[in-house]
Amino acid sequence: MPNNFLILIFGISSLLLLLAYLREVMLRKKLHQSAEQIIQASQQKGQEIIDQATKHAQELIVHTEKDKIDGATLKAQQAIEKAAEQFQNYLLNLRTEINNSKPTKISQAALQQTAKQVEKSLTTTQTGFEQFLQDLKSAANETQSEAEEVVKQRVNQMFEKFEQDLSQFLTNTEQQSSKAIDMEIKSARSLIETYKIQQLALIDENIIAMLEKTLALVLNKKLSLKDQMELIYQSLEKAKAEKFII
Amino acid sequence: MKKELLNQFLSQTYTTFQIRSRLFFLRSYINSNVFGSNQGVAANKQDQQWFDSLPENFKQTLSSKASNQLLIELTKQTEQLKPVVLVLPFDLPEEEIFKLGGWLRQIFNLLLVYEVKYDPSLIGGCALIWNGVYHDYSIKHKIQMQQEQLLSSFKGFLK
Repeated sequence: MPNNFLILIFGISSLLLLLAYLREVMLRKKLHQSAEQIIQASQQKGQEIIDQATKHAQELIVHTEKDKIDGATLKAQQAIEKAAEQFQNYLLNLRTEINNSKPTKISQAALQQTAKQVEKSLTTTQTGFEQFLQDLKSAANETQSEAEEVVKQRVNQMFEKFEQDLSQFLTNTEQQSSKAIDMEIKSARSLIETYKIQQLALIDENIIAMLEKTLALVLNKKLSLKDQMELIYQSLEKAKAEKFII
Repeated sequence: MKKELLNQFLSQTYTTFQIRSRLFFLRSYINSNVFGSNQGVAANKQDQQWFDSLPENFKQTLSSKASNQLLIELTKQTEQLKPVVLVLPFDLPEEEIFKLGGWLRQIFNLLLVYEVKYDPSLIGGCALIWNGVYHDYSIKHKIQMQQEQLLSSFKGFLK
């Protein structure tokens, strides 16, 4: 009879122990699952924050000029730091919540390890992003230099074209001016020639008139009556020869 | 008869001025001798010499009663004469007028009378107007006809 009682007690205690063990396992599993869920959620949130920060930084970097790139980089870095700070605060809050919820020592260590891993990955991400920004900055500088070169070339081409056009324009203008001047000179010369001919004709008439006047003055004094009558008789003989008076 | 009278009248009468002067003389002579006018005979020396050179039958006709008719006839005939206009560069003396008149009638074989006009610009020689046609035989006209030659020789001197 006492053996049966002992066996019964032993059985009940073993059963109780088994139940306690199962309960403990179930609790641990449940806690692990909740910690994993919390960690996944925190990772997701952290990734989202980082993605947002990265996107924001990229937008800033893509749409700014050289002298704003540093500012954009600074802003991006500030955004990333802020995101990292937020994530860290979140992790701290999470850690505080986890600590306050009194999980088991094993779960706390796993959470801390997971948090450390998350921090490490975040740091790596931040470093990588900073590197990305640096690369982007150098690429932007290169692009700017190339753009400056292109602009310089375009400006030089424009100046060359302008020079050519100007020289062509000046040549054409010179030719047209020369033509116009030649025509003016030609018309002026023809006018001068006409005037010269008119004046020479006038002079010729004046010469004859002067000759007549001189002869009239001289012959009136020099010719005698006999000579004058001789001239008259000669004129009348010429009239007879021409049969002027019939 | 009429022609003979005219010929007699125009003897020693060559210009239209002389014709008018002679007719005036005849009028005054007829008035004085035939009609008994107290005014006397208006005559200059040439007219008197001309009258003295006239034949007797002409003078007798002037003294008769037909003298007036004679004068009218002479006036009509002289008006029908076509004078040749001589444009001269100087004033002709009286004796040259007679010489020239006689010479004209001789060379043209016509009973010509002439009228003298003056144009000093002719320089020498004369111009004639006959039947309304003007013809220049003066030195001035010769200069104008040889204008080109004169100008070229003148310009030759300039060169």
